Amino acid sequence: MAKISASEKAAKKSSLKRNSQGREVWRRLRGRKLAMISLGAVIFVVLIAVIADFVYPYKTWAIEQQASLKLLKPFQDWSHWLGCDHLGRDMGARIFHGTRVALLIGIGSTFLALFLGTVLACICALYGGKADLIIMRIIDILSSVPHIIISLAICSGLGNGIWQLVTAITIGGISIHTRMVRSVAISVAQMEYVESSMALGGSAGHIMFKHLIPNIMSIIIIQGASNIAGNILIVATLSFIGLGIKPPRPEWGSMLNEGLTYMMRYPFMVFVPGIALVFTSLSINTFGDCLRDAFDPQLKGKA
Amino acid sequence: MLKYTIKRIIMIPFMLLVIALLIFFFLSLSKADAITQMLPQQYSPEDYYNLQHELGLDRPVIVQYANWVWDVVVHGDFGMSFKTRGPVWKEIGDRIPTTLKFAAITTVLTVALGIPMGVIAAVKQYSWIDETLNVVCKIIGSIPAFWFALVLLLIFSMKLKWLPTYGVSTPKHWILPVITQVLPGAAFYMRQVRSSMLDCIRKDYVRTARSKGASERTVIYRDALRNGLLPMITIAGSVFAMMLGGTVVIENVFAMPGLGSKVVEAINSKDIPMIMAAAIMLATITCLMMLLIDLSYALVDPRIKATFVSVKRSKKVKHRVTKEAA
Repeated sequence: MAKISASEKAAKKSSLKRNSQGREVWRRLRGRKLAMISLGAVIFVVLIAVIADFVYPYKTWAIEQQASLKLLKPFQDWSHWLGCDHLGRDMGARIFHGTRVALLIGIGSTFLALFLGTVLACICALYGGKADLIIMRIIDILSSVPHIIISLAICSGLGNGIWQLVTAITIGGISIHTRMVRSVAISVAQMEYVESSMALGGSAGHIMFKHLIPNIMSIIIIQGASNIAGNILIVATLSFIGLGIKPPRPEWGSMLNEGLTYMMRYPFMVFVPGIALVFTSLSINTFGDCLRDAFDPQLKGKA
Repeated sequence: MLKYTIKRIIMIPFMLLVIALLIFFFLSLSKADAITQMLPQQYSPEDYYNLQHELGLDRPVIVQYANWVWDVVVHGDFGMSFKTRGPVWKEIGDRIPTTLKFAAITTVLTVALGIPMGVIAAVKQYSWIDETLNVVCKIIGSIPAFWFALVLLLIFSMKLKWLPTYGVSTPKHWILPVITQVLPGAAFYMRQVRSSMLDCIRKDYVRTARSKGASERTVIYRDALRNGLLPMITIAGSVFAMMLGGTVVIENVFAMPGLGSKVVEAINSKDIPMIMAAAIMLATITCLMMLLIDLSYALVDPRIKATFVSVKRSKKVKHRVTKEAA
C-alpha cells in the first residue's frame, strides 16, 4: 500500500511540474551503471586537466629537464611514479598537462565545428532552394577528401599551436555535422510552429535560435559527444606525425613520437601516453553512447 | 541514368579545383617558412627575395594558383619540388601504386569482415555474440590507429620477431599495416551493417514473409539481407576514404613508400608543390572511388534507378496512354 501511494505521489508531482527533457535524460542516465561509470571517468579526466597546474607546476615539472632522471622506469621512484622520458622530464606531469591540451582542442574544435555546422544546416533548412544547394555543394566538396588530409594541409599552412590545430580540425569536421544536423533541421523547419512564427514576421535569427535549435538540441548534443573523442585522436595523430603542438609543450601524440626511438628498451614511453589516450577516448565515447541512448530510448541498441 | 553519370563526372574536376584552391590558400600562408628552410643558416634579405622570385612565390596567391592549375591541366606538370629541385610527378607517380594497393586491400578486407559480423550481430540481437562484438568494436574504435600500430610492432616485430618492421618488400611486411587498418575499419563497418540490418528486420515486408510461413533462413537471406546490405555499398565508399586517410599515418609508422608518407615528409620540409601534388592525388582517388561506388549503387538498387528515369519521359508515356484510352 505504501508503495502505491508513493508512486501516486510521484505521479502527482510529475504532473504538476513539467518534466524538462534534460531532467528526463538525467533520470534515464542515472539508471544505467555503464553511464555512471563512464561519466565518472570523464569527470576524472576533466579533473586531471583542471588540477594539472596545482599538482605539477608547468615550468618546473613538465618542461624542466633533469639529466639524472633520464629514462627512469615507472613505479620505481614515487615522486616520479610514471617515470621520466629521455630528457628526464616527469611523465606524470607531461600526461597531466597533455590532458589539458587534448581536452581543450578536442572540446574546442567540436564545439566550433558543431556551431558552424548547425548554423549552416539551419540556413539550409530555413531558406532551402539556392542557399541549400550552394551550401551542400561546398559540404560535398569538403567531405570528398579524407578529413585528415584537409587538417594536414591547414596545419602545415598555419603552423604549430593550439589555435591552429583547433582551426584545422574544425574546418575538417564541419561537413559531417552540417549533414547530420541538416537532415533533422529540414523536418523541424516544416513544423507548424515554425510556419506560424514566420507568418508573425519572426526574423530568421529568431526562428533559428528560438524554434529550430531548441528542437534539434538532442541531435546536436549527441553529435558533439560522439565527436569529441574522435577529435582528440586526430589531435594526437597530427602531433604524432609532427604537425600538432610545438615540442616543449607536452602533448600525448608528440610524446608517443618521442617514445618511438626508445620503444624497444623502454616500452613504457609508448604505453603511458597511449593508455592515457585510450582511456580518455574510451570513456568519452562510452558516455556519448549512453547519452544517445538516454536521449532517444527508441534508438537504443541500434547503430 | 546516363545524365546522372555525366553530371557526376563533370562535377569531379570542379570539386578538385575548389579543394586545390583551399589547400593552396592555406599552404601559401607558410611560404616564408618554406623559403627560409631552403636558404642556408646565414642569409641576406636579398637572398630571400631572389629565391622568392625564383620560386614564383612573390606573385599574388590567386595568380600562383591559376598558374599551377594551368600547368597541371594543360601540361600535366605538377611543378618542381622545392627540396630536390626535380619534377614532383616523378616522385608522386612511383608512390601511387603502393597507396592504392594498400587502400584497396584494406577496404576489401574491411567489408569482407564487417558484413558477416554485422549480419550475425543483427540477427542474434542481444545474444552474447552481439554484446561481445559491440564491446570489442567500441574499444577498438577508441584506440588511435597509430598507437595500435606501435603496440603491434612492439609485440610482433620487436619482442617476438615474427614479422619484419619496416618497408613493403615481402607480403609479410603487409600483415601488420593491414591489420592496423582493417580492425578499426571493420569495427566501424560492422556497426553500420548491424543497424541497417536491424532496420530491415523490423520492416513490414519481413513480417509479411514470416507470416507467410517462410523459414527464418529464407526471411533473413532473401528479404532482410538484400535490402539491408544495399545501403552498405555507399558506406563502403566512406570506408575507402577512411582507409585512404589512414594511410597517411600508417605508412609513416611502417615506413611504407606511399603517398601518405610522402605528404607528411613534404609537409615537414615545407615542400609546397609536393604537398599540393600528393594531396590532390589523394583527393582525386577518393573522388573517383566515390563516383564508382555511387554509380554501382544506382545500378544495383532498382529503386534508385527508377528515380533517374526523367519525369518528362514518364509524363509523355502517361499522356500517350491516356490518349490511346480515349
